[in-house]
Amino acid sequence: MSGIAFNPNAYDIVFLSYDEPNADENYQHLLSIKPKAKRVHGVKGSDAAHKACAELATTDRVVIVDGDNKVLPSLWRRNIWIKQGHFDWDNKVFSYSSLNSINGTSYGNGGVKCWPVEKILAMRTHEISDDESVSVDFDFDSYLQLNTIGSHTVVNSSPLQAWRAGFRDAVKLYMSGNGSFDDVDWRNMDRLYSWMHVGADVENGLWACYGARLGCYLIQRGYDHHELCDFDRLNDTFKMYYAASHNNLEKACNNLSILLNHRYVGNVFSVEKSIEYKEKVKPPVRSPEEFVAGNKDPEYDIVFISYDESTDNKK
Amino acid sequence: MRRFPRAKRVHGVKGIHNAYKEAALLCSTDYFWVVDADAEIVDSFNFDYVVPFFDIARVRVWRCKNPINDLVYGYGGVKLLPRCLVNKMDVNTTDMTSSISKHYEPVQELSNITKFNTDPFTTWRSAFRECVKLSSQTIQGQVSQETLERLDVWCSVGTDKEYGKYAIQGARQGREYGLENKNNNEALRKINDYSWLKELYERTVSV
Repeated sequence: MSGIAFNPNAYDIVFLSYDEPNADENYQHLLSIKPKAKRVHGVKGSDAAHKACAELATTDRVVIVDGDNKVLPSLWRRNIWIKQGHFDWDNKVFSYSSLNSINGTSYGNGGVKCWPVEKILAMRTHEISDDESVSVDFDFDSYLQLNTIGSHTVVNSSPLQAWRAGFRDAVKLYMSGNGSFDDVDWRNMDRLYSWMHVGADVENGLWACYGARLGCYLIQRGYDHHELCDFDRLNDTFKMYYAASHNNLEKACNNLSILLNHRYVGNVFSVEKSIEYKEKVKPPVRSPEEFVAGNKDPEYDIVFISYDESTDNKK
Repeated sequence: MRRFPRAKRVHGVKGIHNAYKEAALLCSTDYFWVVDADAEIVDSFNFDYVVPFFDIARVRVWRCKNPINDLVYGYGGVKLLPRCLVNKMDVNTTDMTSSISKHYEPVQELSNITKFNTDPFTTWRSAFRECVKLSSQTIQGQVSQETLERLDVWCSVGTDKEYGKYAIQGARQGREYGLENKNNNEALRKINDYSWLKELYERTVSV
Protein backbone atom coordinates (compact mmCIF):
# COMPACT_ATOMS: atom_id res chain seq x y z
CA MET A 1 0.00 0.00 0.00
CA SER A 2 1.52 3.37 -0.99
CA GLY A 3 0.86 6.58 0.91
CA ILE A 4 1.17 7.80 4.48
CA ALA A 5 -0.21 5.59 7.22
CA PHE A 6 -2.48 7.21 9.77
CA ASN A 7 -2.24 5.01 12.85
CA PRO A 8 -4.63 5.98 15.67
CA ASN A 9 -2.46 4.04 18.15
CA ALA A 10 0.18 6.73 17.90
CA TYR A 11 -1.87 9.29 19.81
CA ASP A 12 -3.25 9.90 23.28
CA ILE A 13 -6.89 9.07 23.85
CA VAL A 14 -9.26 11.22 25.89
CA PHE A 15 -12.78 10.20 26.82
CA LEU A 16 -15.01 13.28 26.91
CA SER A 17 -18.20 13.10 28.95
CA TYR A 18 -20.65 15.63 30.32
CA ASP A 19 -23.84 14.13 31.75
CA GLU A 20 -24.37 10.98 29.67
CA PRO A 21 -26.03 8.31 31.84
CA ASN A 22 -23.92 5.60 30.24
CA ALA A 23 -20.62 7.51 30.34
CA ASP A 24 -19.00 5.53 33.17
CA GLU A 25 -19.88 2.24 31.52
CA ASN A 26 -18.53 3.43 28.17
CA TYR A 27 -15.33 4.69 29.76
CA GLN A 28 -14.75 1.35 31.48
CA HIS A 29 -15.29 -0.31 28.13
CA LEU A 30 -12.71 1.99 26.54
CA LEU A 31 -10.25 1.27 29.34
CA SER A 32 -10.65 -2.45 28.71
CA ILE A 33 -9.32 -1.82 25.19
CA LYS A 34 -7.04 1.15 25.81
CA PRO A 35 -5.99 1.17 29.51
CA LYS A 36 -4.16 4.50 29.25
CA ALA A 37 -7.15 6.46 28.00
CA LYS A 38 -7.65 9.70 29.95
CA ARG A 39 -10.93 11.41 30.77
CA VAL A 40 -12.41 14.89 30.82
CA HIS A 41 -15.77 15.13 32.52
CA GLY A 42 -18.37 17.83 33.09
CA VAL A 43 -16.74 20.74 31.27
CA LYS A 44 -19.45 23.07 30.01
CA GLY A 45 -19.36 24.11 26.36
CA SER A 46 -18.07 21.98 23.46
CA ASP A 47 -15.19 24.29 22.63
CA ALA A 48 -13.98 24.45 26.23
CA ALA A 49 -14.38 20.70 26.69
CA HIS A 50 -12.31 19.95 23.59
CA LYS A 51 -9.62 22.37 24.75
CA ALA A 52 -9.52 20.50 28.06
CA CYS A 53 -8.91 17.28 26.10
CA ALA A 54 -6.16 18.93 24.07
CA GLU A 55 -4.44 20.12 27.21
CA LEU A 56 -4.27 16.58 28.55
CA ALA A 57 -2.62 15.29 25.39
CA THR A 58 1.13 14.73 25.21
CA THR A 59 1.09 13.81 21.52
CA ASP A 60 0.59 16.20 18.59
CA ARG A 61 -2.83 14.70 17.93
CA VAL A 62 -5.48 13.47 20.30
CA VAL A 63 -8.18 10.86 19.81
CA ILE A 64 -11.40 12.11 21.43
CA VAL A 65 -14.14 9.63 22.31
CA ASP A 66 -17.52 11.12 23.23
CA GLY A 67 -19.23 10.00 26.45
CA ASP A 68 -22.05 8.20 24.67
CA ASN A 69 -19.64 6.16 22.53
CA LYS A 70 -18.90 2.48 22.90
CA VAL A 71 -15.71 2.12 20.90
CA LEU A 72 -14.96 -0.87 18.72
CA PRO A 73 -11.61 -2.64 19.18
CA SER A 74 -11.31 -2.72 15.38
CA LEU A 75 -10.76 1.04 15.34
CA TRP A 76 -7.19 0.51 16.59
CA ARG A 77 -6.44 -2.45 14.38
CA ARG A 78 -6.49 -0.68 11.05
CA ASN A 79 -4.22 1.98 9.59
CA ILE A 80 -5.72 4.47 7.16
CA TRP A 81 -3.45 4.92 4.14
CA ILE A 82 -3.52 8.48 2.87
CA LYS A 83 -2.48 9.63 -0.58
CA GLN A 84 0.83 11.47 -0.38
CA GLY A 85 0.61 15.23 -0.68
CA HIS A 86 -3.15 15.12 -0.72
CA PHE A 87 -3.74 17.66 2.00
CA ASP A 88 -2.40 19.72 4.83
CA TRP A 89 -2.08 16.83 7.31
CA ASP A 90 -1.48 19.07 10.30
CA ASN A 91 -4.80 20.83 9.91
CA LYS A 92 -7.13 17.90 9.31
CA VAL A 93 -9.36 15.96 11.68
CA PHE A 94 -9.88 12.23 11.10
CA SER A 95 -13.55 11.58 11.68
CA TYR A 96 -14.69 7.97 12.02
CA SER A 97 -18.27 6.97 11.36
CA SER A 98 -20.43 5.82 14.21
CA LEU A 99 -23.33 3.39 14.22
CA ASN A 100 -26.39 4.87 15.91
CA SER A 101 -27.88 2.55 18.52
CA ILE A 102 -31.43 3.77 17.90
CA ASN A 103 -31.89 4.13 14.18
CA GLY A 104 -28.99 2.29 12.54
CA THR A 105 -27.62 5.30 10.69
CA SER A 106 -23.88 5.40 10.18
CA TYR A 107 -22.14 8.74 9.74
CA GLY A 108 -20.11 11.26 11.67
CA ASN A 109 -22.66 12.13 14.34
CA GLY A 110 -21.09 11.35 17.71
CA GLY A 111 -18.19 9.46 16.19
CA VAL A 112 -14.58 9.17 17.33
CA LYS A 113 -12.28 11.88 16.01
CA CYS A 114 -8.56 12.36 15.93
CA TRP A 115 -7.68 16.04 16.21
CA PRO A 116 -4.45 17.98 15.77
CA VAL A 117 -3.89 19.42 19.25
CA GLU A 118 -2.79 22.80 17.94
CA LYS A 119 -5.96 23.09 15.90
CA ILE A 120 -8.15 22.57 18.95
CA LEU A 121 -6.23 25.11 20.96
CA ALA A 122 -6.52 27.70 18.18
CA MET A 123 -10.16 27.19 17.21
CA ARG A 124 -13.09 29.35 18.29
CA THR A 125 -16.32 27.37 17.92
CA HIS A 126 -19.66 26.82 19.63
CA GLU A 127 -19.99 28.94 22.77
CA ILE A 128 -17.06 31.24 21.88
CA SER A 129 -17.67 31.39 18.15
CA ASP A 130 -17.71 34.64 16.27
CA ASP A 131 -18.40 32.84 12.99
CA GLU A 132 -21.95 31.62 12.28
CA SER A 133 -20.71 28.57 10.35
CA VAL A 134 -19.15 27.05 13.49
CA SER A 135 -21.61 28.35 16.07
CA VAL A 136 -23.35 25.02 16.68
CA ASP A 137 -20.77 22.59 15.33
CA PHE A 138 -17.14 22.22 14.31
CA ASP A 139 -15.65 23.14 10.95
CA PHE A 140 -16.66 20.21 8.73
CA ASP A 141 -14.33 21.41 5.98
CA SER A 142 -11.38 20.31 8.05
CA TYR A 143 -12.78 16.78 8.52
CA LEU A 144 -11.46 13.77 6.67
CA GLN A 145 -14.63 11.73 6.74
CA LEU A 146 -14.06 8.01 7.06
CA ASN A 147 -16.63 5.35 6.22
CA THR A 148 -15.02 3.03 8.76
CA ILE A 149 -17.22 2.60 11.81
CA GLY A 150 -15.14 3.24 14.92
CA SER A 151 -17.85 3.08 17.57
CA HIS A 152 -21.48 2.69 18.44
CA THR A 153 -23.09 5.89 19.63
CA VAL A 154 -25.39 4.70 22.39
CA VAL A 155 -27.86 7.49 22.99
CA ASN A 156 -30.86 5.65 24.41
CA SER A 157 -29.89 5.27 28.04
CA SER A 158 -32.59 7.69 29.20
CA PRO A 159 -35.53 9.56 27.68
CA LEU A 160 -33.62 12.84 27.98
CA GLN A 161 -30.48 11.47 26.32
CA ALA A 162 -32.44 10.01 23.41
CA TRP A 163 -34.61 13.09 22.98
CA ARG A 164 -31.64 15.44 23.10
CA ALA A 165 -29.66 13.39 20.57
CA GLY A 166 -32.59 13.31 18.15
CA PHE A 167 -33.44 16.96 18.69
CA ARG A 168 -29.90 18.27 18.26
CA ASP A 169 -28.97 16.32 15.19
CA ALA A 170 -32.32 16.80 13.49
CA VAL A 171 -32.05 20.56 13.94
CA LYS A 172 -28.55 20.53 12.44
CA LEU A 173 -29.63 18.35 9.52
CA TYR A 174 -32.77 20.38 8.91
CA MET A 175 -30.86 23.66 9.11
CA SER A 176 -28.43 22.33 6.48
CA GLY A 177 -31.37 22.79 4.10
CA ASN A 178 -32.19 26.19 5.63
CA GLY A 179 -35.29 24.78 7.28
CA SER A 180 -36.72 23.14 4.15
CA PHE A 181 -36.85 19.36 3.82
CA ASP A 182 -36.63 19.68 0.05
CA ASP A 183 -33.34 21.55 0.28
CA VAL A 184 -31.58 19.13 2.61
CA ASP A 185 -28.89 17.14 0.79
CA TRP A 186 -30.29 13.67 0.06
CA ARG A 187 -27.84 11.82 2.29
CA ASN A 188 -28.63 14.12 5.19
CA MET A 189 -32.33 13.77 4.41
CA ASP A 190 -31.96 10.01 4.65
CA ARG A 191 -30.40 10.41 8.10
CA LEU A 192 -33.10 12.85 9.18
CA TYR A 193 -35.76 10.42 7.93
CA SER A 194 -34.26 7.66 10.08
CA TRP A 195 -34.11 9.90 13.15
CA MET A 196 -37.79 10.74 12.71
CA HIS A 197 -39.10 7.23 12.02
CA VAL A 198 -36.87 4.43 13.26
CA GLY A 199 -36.27 3.26 16.83
CA ALA A 200 -39.45 1.96 18.44
CA ASP A 201 -37.65 -1.36 18.90
CA VAL A 202 -35.10 -0.03 21.39
CA GLU A 203 -35.62 1.41 24.84
CA ASN A 204 -36.28 5.15 24.67
CA GLY A 205 -35.97 5.06 20.89
CA LEU A 206 -39.26 6.86 20.37
CA TRP A 207 -37.90 9.76 22.40
CA ALA A 208 -35.28 10.28 19.70
CA CYS A 209 -37.99 10.22 17.01
CA TYR A 210 -40.00 12.71 19.03
CA GLY A 211 -36.98 14.96 19.60
CA ALA A 212 -36.12 14.90 15.88
CA ARG A 213 -39.64 15.83 14.85
CA LEU A 214 -39.98 18.47 17.53
CA GLY A 215 -36.64 20.00 16.53
CA CYS A 216 -37.79 20.44 12.93
CA TYR A 217 -41.14 21.76 14.02
CA LEU A 218 -39.66 24.30 16.42
CA ILE A 219 -37.30 25.52 13.69
CA GLN A 220 -40.38 26.15 11.56
CA ARG A 221 -41.78 28.13 14.49
CA GLY A 222 -38.68 30.31 14.78
CA TYR A 223 -36.61 28.40 17.36
CA ASP A 224 -33.08 29.80 17.78
CA HIS A 225 -30.81 26.91 16.84
CA HIS A 226 -27.92 28.42 18.77
CA GLU A 227 -29.56 26.93 21.86
CA LEU A 228 -28.22 23.55 20.74
CA CYS A 229 -24.96 24.49 22.48
CA ASP A 230 -26.67 25.13 25.80
CA PHE A 231 -27.52 21.82 27.45
CA ASP A 232 -29.26 23.50 30.41
CA ARG A 233 -31.72 25.17 28.08
CA LEU A 234 -32.16 21.96 26.08
CA ASN A 235 -32.95 20.13 29.30
CA ASP A 236 -35.55 22.79 30.12
CA THR A 237 -37.09 22.39 26.67
CA PHE A 238 -37.28 18.64 27.24
CA LYS A 239 -39.02 19.09 30.60
CA MET A 240 -41.52 21.44 29.00
CA TYR A 241 -42.54 18.94 26.31
CA TYR A 242 -42.17 15.80 28.43
CA ALA A 243 -45.39 16.43 30.33
CA ALA A 244 -47.42 16.79 27.15
CA SER A 245 -46.01 13.77 25.38
CA HIS A 246 -44.89 10.99 27.71
CA ASN A 247 -48.31 9.41 28.24
CA ASN A 248 -48.67 8.66 24.55
CA LEU A 249 -45.36 9.24 22.87
CA GLU A 250 -46.28 7.53 19.62
CA LYS A 251 -49.31 9.77 19.22
CA ALA A 252 -47.22 12.83 20.03
CA CYS A 253 -44.77 11.82 17.28
CA ASN A 254 -47.53 11.26 14.77
CA ASN A 255 -49.20 14.55 15.61
CA LEU A 256 -45.94 16.26 14.72
CA SER A 257 -45.95 14.55 11.32
CA ILE A 258 -49.28 16.24 10.65
CA LEU A 259 -47.86 19.60 11.65
CA LEU A 260 -44.68 19.08 9.61
CA ASN A 261 -46.81 18.11 6.59
CA HIS A 262 -44.18 16.75 4.22
CA ARG A 263 -44.16 13.62 2.08
CA TYR A 264 -41.06 12.35 3.89
CA VAL A 265 -42.60 12.60 7.36
CA GLY A 266 -45.10 9.87 8.15
CA ASN A 267 -46.07 7.94 11.25
CA VAL A 268 -43.24 6.52 13.33
CA PHE A 269 -42.37 2.93 12.43
CA SER A 270 -43.66 0.09 14.58
CA VAL A 271 -41.28 -2.18 16.48
CA GLU A 272 -41.36 -4.73 13.65
CA LYS A 273 -40.91 -2.16 10.90
CA SER A 274 -38.03 -0.50 12.76
CA ILE A 275 -36.24 -3.83 13.04
CA GLU A 276 -36.89 -4.63 9.39
CA TYR A 277 -35.75 -1.19 8.25
CA LYS A 278 -32.46 -1.47 10.10
CA GLU A 279 -31.88 -4.97 8.79
CA LYS A 280 -32.72 -4.29 5.17
CA VAL A 281 -32.06 -0.64 4.36
CA LYS A 282 -28.39 0.25 4.26
CA PRO A 283 -27.45 3.84 5.11
CA PRO A 284 -25.90 5.94 2.34
CA VAL A 285 -22.14 6.01 1.95
CA ARG A 286 -20.81 8.85 4.09
CA SER A 287 -17.72 9.82 2.17
CA PRO A 288 -16.00 9.34 -1.20
CA GLU A 289 -12.73 9.00 0.79
CA GLU A 290 -10.87 10.57 -2.10
CA PHE A 291 -7.90 11.07 0.23
CA VAL A 292 -7.45 7.33 0.81
CA ALA A 293 -4.68 5.64 -1.19
CA GLY A 294 -5.90 2.99 -3.60
CA ASN A 295 -9.47 4.23 -3.46
CA LYS A 296 -11.47 3.17 -6.51
CA ASP A 297 -14.65 4.41 -8.15
CA PRO A 298 -17.78 2.70 -6.84
CA GLU A 299 -19.28 -0.17 -8.82
CA TYR A 300 -23.02 0.13 -8.38
CA ASP A 301 -25.27 -2.88 -7.84
CA ILE A 302 -27.28 -4.10 -10.83
CA VAL A 303 -30.81 -5.48 -10.49
CA PHE A 304 -32.65 -7.35 -13.21
CA ILE A 305 -36.42 -6.95 -12.78
CA SER A 306 -38.81 -9.47 -14.28
CA TYR A 307 -42.46 -10.25 -13.83
CA ASP A 308 -43.92 -12.61 -16.42
CA GLU A 309 -41.83 -11.84 -19.50
CA SER A 310 -41.15 -14.89 -21.62
CA THR A 311 -37.59 -13.91 -22.64
CA ASP A 312 -36.12 -13.11 -19.27
CA ASN A 313 -34.33 -16.41 -18.66
CA LYS A 314 -32.28 -15.96 -21.80
CA LYS A 315 -30.40 -12.94 -20.38
CA MET B 1 -25.54 -12.47 -15.79
CA ARG B 2 -22.82 -13.81 -18.09
CA ARG B 3 -21.35 -10.35 -18.69
CA PHE B 4 -22.11 -8.92 -15.25
CA PRO B 5 -22.14 -11.66 -12.60
CA ARG B 6 -22.76 -9.12 -9.84
CA ALA B 7 -26.32 -8.64 -11.13
CA LYS B 8 -29.15 -9.53 -8.75
CA ARG B 9 -32.75 -10.30 -9.64
CA VAL B 10 -36.24 -9.37 -8.51
CA HIS B 11 -38.93 -11.58 -10.00
CA GLY B 12 -42.71 -11.64 -9.82
CA VAL B 13 -43.33 -8.69 -7.52
CA LYS B 14 -46.73 -7.22 -8.25
CA GLY B 15 -46.73 -3.52 -9.07
CA ILE B 16 -43.81 -1.77 -10.71
CA HIS B 17 -43.19 0.59 -7.82
CA ASN B 18 -43.09 -2.33 -5.39
CA ALA B 19 -40.66 -4.22 -7.63
CA TYR B 20 -38.29 -1.25 -7.65
CA LYS B 21 -38.54 -0.88 -3.89
CA GLU B 22 -37.72 -4.56 -3.53
CA ALA B 23 -34.74 -4.03 -5.83
CA ALA B 24 -33.51 -1.17 -3.65
CA LEU B 25 -33.59 -3.44 -0.62
CA LEU B 26 -31.26 -5.88 -2.36
CA CYS B 27 -28.67 -3.17 -2.86
CA SER B 28 -26.12 -1.46 -0.67
CA THR B 29 -24.53 1.01 -3.08
CA ASP B 30 -25.81 4.61 -3.13
CA TYR B 31 -27.10 4.14 -6.68
CA PHE B 32 -28.24 0.98 -8.41
CA TRP B 33 -28.80 -0.02 -12.00
CA VAL B 34 -32.16 -1.34 -13.11
CA VAL B 35 -32.47 -3.59 -16.14
CA ASP B 36 -35.93 -4.58 -17.29
CA ALA B 37 -36.54 -8.19 -18.24
CA ASP B 38 -37.03 -7.40 -21.91
CA ALA B 39 -33.76 -5.46 -22.21
CA GLU B 40 -30.95 -6.80 -24.36
CA ILE B 41 -27.84 -4.90 -23.32
CA VAL B 42 -25.69 -3.67 -26.22
CA ASP B 43 -22.02 -4.66 -26.26
CA SER B 44 -20.80 -1.10 -25.81
CA PHE B 45 -22.66 -0.60 -22.53
CA ASN B 46 -20.66 -1.51 -19.42
CA PHE B 47 -22.48 -0.22 -16.32
CA ASP B 48 -19.41 1.85 -15.49
CA TYR B 49 -20.95 5.31 -15.10
CA VAL B 50 -20.04 6.96 -11.80
CA VAL B 51 -22.11 9.74 -10.27
CA PRO B 52 -20.15 12.63 -8.72
CA PHE B 53 -20.37 12.01 -4.97
CA PHE B 54 -21.87 15.37 -4.06
CA ASP B 55 -24.32 15.54 -6.94
CA ILE B 56 -28.01 15.89 -6.17
CA ALA B 57 -29.92 12.61 -6.34
CA ARG B 58 -31.13 12.26 -9.93
CA VAL B 59 -32.87 9.54 -11.86
CA ARG B 60 -30.75 8.79 -14.92
CA VAL B 61 -32.17 6.93 -17.90
CA TRP B 62 -30.12 5.69 -20.85
CA ARG B 63 -31.37 5.50 -24.44
CA CYS B 64 -32.92 2.39 -25.77
CA LYS B 65 -33.92 1.14 -29.21
CA ASN B 66 -37.45 -0.05 -29.91
CA PRO B 67 -37.30 -3.12 -32.20
CA ILE B 68 -40.76 -2.52 -33.70
CA ASN B 69 -40.72 1.15 -34.65
CA ASP B 70 -36.97 1.96 -34.32
CA LEU B 71 -37.57 4.86 -31.95
CA VAL B 72 -34.53 5.57 -29.78
CA TYR B 73 -35.18 7.30 -26.45
CA GLY B 74 -35.54 6.49 -22.75
CA TYR B 75 -38.42 4.04 -23.07
CA GLY B 76 -37.22 0.65 -21.78
CA GLY B 77 -33.72 2.00 -21.16
CA VAL B 78 -31.39 1.05 -18.35
CA LYS B 79 -31.87 3.27 -15.31
CA LEU B 80 -29.50 4.39 -12.60
CA LEU B 81 -31.51 5.18 -9.49
CA PRO B 82 -30.64 6.78 -6.13
CA ARG B 83 -31.32 3.95 -3.67
CA CYS B 84 -32.32 6.08 -0.68
CA LEU B 85 -35.02 7.87 -2.68
CA VAL B 86 -36.43 4.66 -4.15
CA ASN B 87 -36.93 3.43 -0.59
CA LYS B 88 -39.09 6.45 0.15
CA MET B 89 -40.95 6.92 -3.13
CA ASP B 90 -44.69 7.39 -3.36
CA VAL B 91 -46.14 4.19 -4.81
CA ASN B 92 -49.39 5.86 -5.89
CA THR B 93 -48.14 7.61 -8.99
CA THR B 94 -48.47 6.76 -12.67
CA ASP B 95 -44.87 7.24 -13.72
CA MET B 96 -42.44 5.56 -11.39
CA THR B 97 -39.24 7.39 -12.32
CA SER B 98 -40.63 10.86 -11.76
CA SER B 99 -41.97 9.85 -8.36
CA ILE B 100 -38.45 8.96 -7.18
CA SER B 101 -36.92 12.37 -7.78
CA LYS B 102 -37.91 15.57 -9.53
CA HIS B 103 -34.41 15.61 -10.98
CA TYR B 104 -34.29 13.56 -14.17
CA GLU B 105 -31.39 13.23 -16.57
CA PRO B 106 -31.66 11.48 -19.92
CA VAL B 107 -28.22 10.11 -20.76
CA GLN B 108 -27.39 10.27 -24.47
CA GLU B 109 -25.86 6.83 -24.75
CA LEU B 110 -27.52 3.64 -26.00
CA SER B 111 -27.82 0.97 -23.32
CA ASN B 112 -30.07 -1.69 -24.83
CA ILE B 113 -32.73 -2.89 -27.19
CA THR B 114 -36.08 -3.37 -25.49
CA LYS B 115 -37.29 -6.69 -26.87
CA PHE B 116 -40.81 -6.47 -25.57
CA ASN B 117 -42.42 -8.11 -28.61
CA THR B 118 -42.26 -11.65 -27.32
CA ASP B 119 -45.97 -12.52 -27.51
CA PRO B 120 -49.19 -10.69 -28.41
CA PHE B 121 -50.21 -9.69 -24.89
CA THR B 122 -46.80 -8.54 -23.67
CA THR B 123 -46.34 -6.51 -26.84
CA TRP B 124 -49.77 -4.91 -26.57
CA ARG B 125 -49.28 -4.18 -22.85
CA SER B 126 -45.94 -2.45 -23.32
CA ALA B 127 -47.27 -0.25 -26.11
CA PHE B 128 -50.47 0.54 -24.25
CA ARG B 129 -48.68 1.62 -21.07
CA GLU B 130 -46.13 3.80 -22.82
CA CYS B 131 -48.70 5.52 -25.01
CA VAL B 132 -50.95 6.27 -22.05
CA LYS B 133 -47.99 8.08 -20.51
CA LEU B 134 -47.13 9.88 -23.73
CA SER B 135 -50.67 11.02 -24.52
CA SER B 136 -51.56 12.04 -20.96
CA GLN B 137 -48.15 13.76 -20.67
CA THR B 138 -47.74 12.58 -17.09
CA ILE B 139 -43.99 12.29 -17.30
CA GLN B 140 -42.14 15.18 -15.73
CA GLY B 141 -40.11 17.22 -18.21
CA GLN B 142 -41.76 15.87 -21.33
CA VAL B 143 -41.32 18.04 -24.40
CA SER B 144 -44.74 18.26 -25.93
CA GLN B 145 -43.86 18.22 -29.64
CA GLU B 146 -41.32 15.43 -29.25
CA THR B 147 -43.85 13.41 -27.27
CA LEU B 148 -46.51 13.80 -29.97
CA GLU B 149 -44.06 12.74 -32.67
CA ARG B 150 -43.14 9.62 -30.71
CA LEU B 151 -46.79 8.87 -30.13
CA ASP B 152 -47.47 9.08 -33.86
CA VAL B 153 -44.67 6.63 -34.59
CA TRP B 154 -45.89 4.17 -31.92
CA CYS B 155 -49.37 4.27 -33.44
CA SER B 156 -48.35 3.77 -37.06
CA VAL B 157 -44.97 2.08 -37.58
CA GLY B 158 -44.06 -1.61 -37.34
CA THR B 159 -46.77 -3.76 -38.88
CA ASP B 160 -44.04 -5.79 -40.61
CA LYS B 161 -42.28 -6.65 -37.33
CA GLU B 162 -43.07 -9.60 -35.10
CA TYR B 163 -46.25 -8.84 -33.14
CA GLY B 164 -46.07 -5.33 -34.60
CA LYS B 165 -49.84 -5.23 -35.10
CA TYR B 166 -50.33 -5.80 -31.39
CA ALA B 167 -47.96 -2.96 -30.61
CA ILE B 168 -49.85 -0.59 -32.85
CA GLN B 169 -53.21 -1.60 -31.46
CA GLY B 170 -51.93 -1.23 -27.89
CA ALA B 171 -50.46 2.15 -28.77
CA ARG B 172 -53.70 3.42 -30.26
CA GLN B 173 -55.78 2.18 -27.32
CA GLY B 174 -53.24 3.66 -24.93
CA ARG B 175 -53.32 7.01 -26.71
CA GLU B 176 -57.09 7.09 -26.47
CA TYR B 177 -57.12 6.03 -22.81
CA GLY B 178 -54.46 8.60 -21.91
CA LEU B 179 -56.30 11.44 -23.59
CA GLU B 180 -59.63 10.46 -22.01
CA ASN B 181 -58.10 10.27 -18.54
CA LYS B 182 -55.53 13.03 -18.76
CA ASN B 183 -56.55 14.52 -15.42
CA ASN B 184 -57.74 11.34 -13.74
CA ASN B 185 -54.83 10.01 -11.70
CA GLU B 186 -56.76 7.03 -10.44
CA ALA B 187 -57.49 5.86 -13.97
CA LEU B 188 -53.91 6.53 -15.07
CA ARG B 189 -52.48 4.53 -12.18
CA LYS B 190 -54.27 1.44 -13.48
CA ILE B 191 -51.59 1.05 -16.15
CA ASN B 192 -49.34 -0.34 -13.42
CA ASP B 193 -51.89 -3.05 -12.55
CA TYR B 194 -51.03 -6.00 -14.77
CA SER B 195 -54.24 -7.91 -13.88
CA TRP B 196 -56.33 -4.96 -15.05
CA LEU B 197 -54.29 -4.76 -18.25
CA LYS B 198 -54.80 -8.47 -18.91
CA GLU B 199 -58.53 -8.13 -18.44
CA LEU B 200 -58.65 -5.09 -20.74
CA TYR B 201 -56.63 -6.93 -23.38
CA GLU B 202 -58.86 -10.00 -23.31
CA ARG B 203 -61.97 -7.87 -23.49
CA THR B 204 -60.96 -5.50 -26.27
CA VAL B 205 -58.20 -6.78 -28.48
CA SER B 206 -58.80 -8.21 -31.91
CA VAL B 207 -56.05 -7.88 -34.52
